[in-house]
Parts: sequence; C-alpha cells; structure tokens
Amino acid sequence: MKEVYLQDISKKYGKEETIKNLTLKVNKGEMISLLGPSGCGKTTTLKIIAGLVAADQGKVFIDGLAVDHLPTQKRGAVIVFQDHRLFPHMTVGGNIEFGLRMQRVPKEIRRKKVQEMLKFVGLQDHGGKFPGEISGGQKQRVAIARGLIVSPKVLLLDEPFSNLDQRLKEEMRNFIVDIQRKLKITTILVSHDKEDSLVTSSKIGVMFDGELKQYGTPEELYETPKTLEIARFFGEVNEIPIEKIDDVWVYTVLGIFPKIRALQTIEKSSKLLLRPEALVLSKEDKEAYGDRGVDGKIMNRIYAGEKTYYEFDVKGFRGKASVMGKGLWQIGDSVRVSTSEESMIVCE
Amino acid sequence: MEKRLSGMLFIILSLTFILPLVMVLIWSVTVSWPFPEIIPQELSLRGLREIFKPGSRALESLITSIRISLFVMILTLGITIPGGKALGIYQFPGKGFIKIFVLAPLIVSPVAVGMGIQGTFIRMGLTNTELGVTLIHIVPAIPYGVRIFTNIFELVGDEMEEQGKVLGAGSFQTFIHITLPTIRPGILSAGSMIFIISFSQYFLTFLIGGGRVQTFPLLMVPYIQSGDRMMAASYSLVFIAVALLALLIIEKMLRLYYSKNSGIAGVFYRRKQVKS
Repeated sequence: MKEVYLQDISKKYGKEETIKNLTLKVNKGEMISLLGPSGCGKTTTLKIIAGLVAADQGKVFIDGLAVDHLPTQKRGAVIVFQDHRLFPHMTVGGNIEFGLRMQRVPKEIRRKKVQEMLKFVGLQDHGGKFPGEISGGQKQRVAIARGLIVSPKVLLLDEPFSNLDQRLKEEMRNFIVDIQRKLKITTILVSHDKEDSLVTSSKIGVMFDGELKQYGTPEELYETPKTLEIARFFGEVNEIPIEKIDDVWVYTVLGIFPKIRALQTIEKSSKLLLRPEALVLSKEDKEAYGDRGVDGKIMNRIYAGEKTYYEFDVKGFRGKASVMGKGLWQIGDSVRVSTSEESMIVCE
Repeated sequence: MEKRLSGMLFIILSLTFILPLVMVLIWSVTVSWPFPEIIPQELSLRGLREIFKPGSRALESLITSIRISLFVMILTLGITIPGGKALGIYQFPGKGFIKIFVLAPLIVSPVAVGMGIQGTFIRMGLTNTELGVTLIHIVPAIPYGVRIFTNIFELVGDEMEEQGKVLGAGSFQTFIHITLPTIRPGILSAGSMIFIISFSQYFLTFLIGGGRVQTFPLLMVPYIQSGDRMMAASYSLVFIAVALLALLIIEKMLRLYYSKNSGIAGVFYRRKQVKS
C-alpha cells in the first residue's frame, strides 16, 4: 500500500524549474531518502508534500487521499527541519507538547504523553530546559520528538545529519533508524550525503536538477546506476574505454569480456564503469589469474588507513584501484590489473 | 585613553539628557527666578497641586489622553503587524514602492494630511469626537509601526510559522502561539513608540477635536506659549512621568501575557525538574 504518492509534480520559481515532473511512491511504514546535491529540489519536494509550497502542476496523495486542497495543518505530514526550529520561548517539554495543545488534547493526557515521549527519546531530565540550554544533538531529538508526538502519517526529515560531527551523526542515524523501525512510521529523508541514505533507507531516489533520476534499493543504486552521474555520486568509478563490441565479446583496455550479466545490454554508446574495489591488483603471475589481467604500472599511491588507493597506467589508460590495508606496491612498480564482468557497471 | 574618552562621552551625554530634566523639575516648583540669581527665589507647589487637584481639567484631560493613546496603540498595532509582515516576508510586485509610500506621513507635513482628512471627517461626523481624534492619531503612528515590524519580520522570517503549521497549528493558532511571541520585542518598541506619538499630538488633536476633545498637550501648550514657566514645567513633568510609566506598564503587561500564554507548559516542567 502506498502512503505517499506524488504524481507528476512540477514547480517553478521564476523561470527556474526547481522540480520537473516528479513522480514518487512511498509505501506505508517504509523509510526512503531523496538524495542529491544541494539545490536539486529535495527540500522543496518535502515542502510540497507538507503543503508549505504549492506545486504548479501535479497531485499529492497521502494515505490514498488527494491533499492538494488541504492546508498544511490538516495533512498529517510533519517536517523536521535541518535547523531544528525549536520555539525559543517554550521549554523542551513545551515544544514537544505544542502539537497536542493545538489539537486541544486535555492537559492531563498531554502531560502524560510528553513525559512518555521525553523518555522515549532519552531526554527525561531535560523537559524543563529551554532550547538555548541543550546541545545540538539534543535539539535534534527534541525536534523529532515534537514531530512524532502528533502521530503523523508521514515524517519528513530535512537533512537531519548535517551540522553534526561524525560521532553524533552515527548516533543520530541509529536513533532515527531505530525509531522508524519501532514506530513503523512512513518516513522520507532528504540528504546530500550518500552514506546517510545508504545506511538508513530501504529505497533511495536520486535527484539532480529537480528531476528524479533513479529510484530503487541502495544495492540497485550502487551496483546498477543508470547514469555515470549517479554512479559518481555513490563513489569513485573508473570509466573503461570500450575498443570494440562484437556478438560475443566486449574488447576493452583491461581485457576481453564475454557479453553476459551486466554486459548483455551494452551498446557502442554505453559507458563501462568499474569501482576501484572491483579492480584486482596482483603480481605478474599468470598462473593464478590466467590471461585475464593486463600489465600496468603503478603511478601513484594514496594511503587512506583501512585501504590504499593505487593509480595505475595501462596502455595510456589511467585507472584507480583500491586494496585493503597498505598494499604491496610502490610508485613505479609493475603490476597486473584484472577484473571480471561480474562487477562491471553499464550505464547510459 | 579610550576608556577615558568613553567615560567623558558618557558624562556629556548624561548631562544633555538629564540637565534639561533637572531644569524642568526645578521650574515646576519655582515661582520666581529673576536673572542674576543663581538659585530660585521663591518656591511653591502650586503648579503641581493645580494639576492633581481632584476634578481638575488637567487630570481629566490626562485620562482622556491616556485613553486615546491606548486605543491608538492597539489599533495601530493591529494594522501594522500584518502590514509589516507582508512587507517583511512576502514577495509581491510593487513592494519597494509600497515600502516607501508607507513612510509618506513622515515626509508630508501633518498639516497637509490633517487638512485633507478633516474634510472627510466633517462629512462623516467624526470631527469634535474622541473617535475622530483617535483615528487621526493613527496616521502619524503608522510609518513607525510598519517600519519596525517590517524589520522584525525580515529578521525572523516565517520559518517558525512554517514549523507551527506543520505541527498542526491553524493560522490563528500559529499567530497567537508563535508569531506574537517571536515579535515580542517589536511589539514592545512599536507599542511604546505609538503610545508616545499619540500622547504628544497637538496639532492633529486640535484640528479634528476642535478644542472639544481636551487632551493633555492641548492644555499644556497655552502655558508654554504664554510664558507661565511654572505651570508649563509642571505639565511637562507630568507628561514625561506618564510617558515613562506607560512604557513600564506596557513592558510589564507584555511579560505577564507571554509568561501566561506560552509558559504554562514551561513552568510545569520546570517545577517538575526542580523537584526531582
């Protein structure tokens, strides 16, 4: 069952098209993320769902109902903004209570629920503090608690992990994933960080320039991106020049590969991509790797702790491979570069 | 060196503000203070006594003045808060022009504005009435109110309001629970400014009130013009005191209103926390 359904949404600010024909389906209880560089229309999309911005074209459905004519407060979509937007004139408890007060929930029930919610987000000792008196991570929790307490049909998180340091970021990710699993609340998260999306979401929609370029599971996006742009967004890739394609084989600078798996759909105009970790470096040892590899030369070595990147040269082609640990080679060494068609990415 | 300079500046400024007040204070109890003498020669409380005599015209006009100024303040705030919000937050064609146009009453002399409106008020039967005076006082007050609220809204934006709506607050609820507390400093400064603008109006009151609506400045000005220094100073003293008092009361009332309106939850949780 789909909880949120955007049908062919477009929005222009002046002459600039912020969102172009966006169609998106989110199932009930699912957590998805919209991923893209800043200014690609992600936040505007959230605002359109919540009704803070009116779309020029298209329809928004929440829980099977068209909500385009409904004002924000009746849609049941809560946005937790990047900058928290806690009401400075209310305490933490007052902030969390706000939504219930607006619904005129009786005072006794309100207080009970606020106490429960404070406990749920681990802030039971901070209810009486003002927003200025708590830390950034705590503010984030308050902002989320304040949204959760009104039991929204859909929770919209606008860049929840930016402005946080690495440790806090991981803590926050776990917190959100945990809450989402416990409450099974339909959640749309907006982020510019691929890792945030990969770790938290069951589906990712990649947006560039106001268009939804691809929508699928994290694995699909990482392993079978539709375009070079998307592939690059999820990490470094080597673009392998194609020399020739015939009925059975694909000839590349890194060797000849059978037209199976990903390579089945390859065309002359396609791009053939390989992630650094899909390239295997070895000693020039034909026994172990057969004639699959090609000979190259190490041009540069970049040590990054858990792995080491090697830039190599094969017949004028400059590629990048990564190996676990510190690696065996130094600049100038000869090396055998091999790969397999299994890890190849073919895209437009 | 710098400290000394700022210290001196502080003294000079204090003197410029306080000395005239001291003079007013002295004059309000001085019957005669001829030229070569350094100190007043004859003191009396006649001036102040006259003003505070039960049933005096001064006291009556003071009450009228305060009543008018209060209504002007409320009405003008009611007009300029939405006006300032529109100019501060929303985008619409002609905004730049309207921003300047709103300041027109500051640029065009009140005589011109008053004369024009007087004709209309006569037809509507608003001249010589307190309502008419109240309405005309709004004119010079609007530019200040709009200006202050435009700046405030430009500063605070509508982000908090968006958040309120997203959490289920209707437009009116958002206004009461979020907008008003956010712009509280603006209400304080604009409110007191409007009060004082209205409280010190002489010409417009005279023009529309036709002498029938007796406000405090209306009684005060003839004394100043006729050179009765003691009476003029006494009136001035009361005038300043009332204006100051009004400022203090407005601030107190605002504080009370907000602590009542937004702090229920806050106070509750605060108490709870202290206990545990």
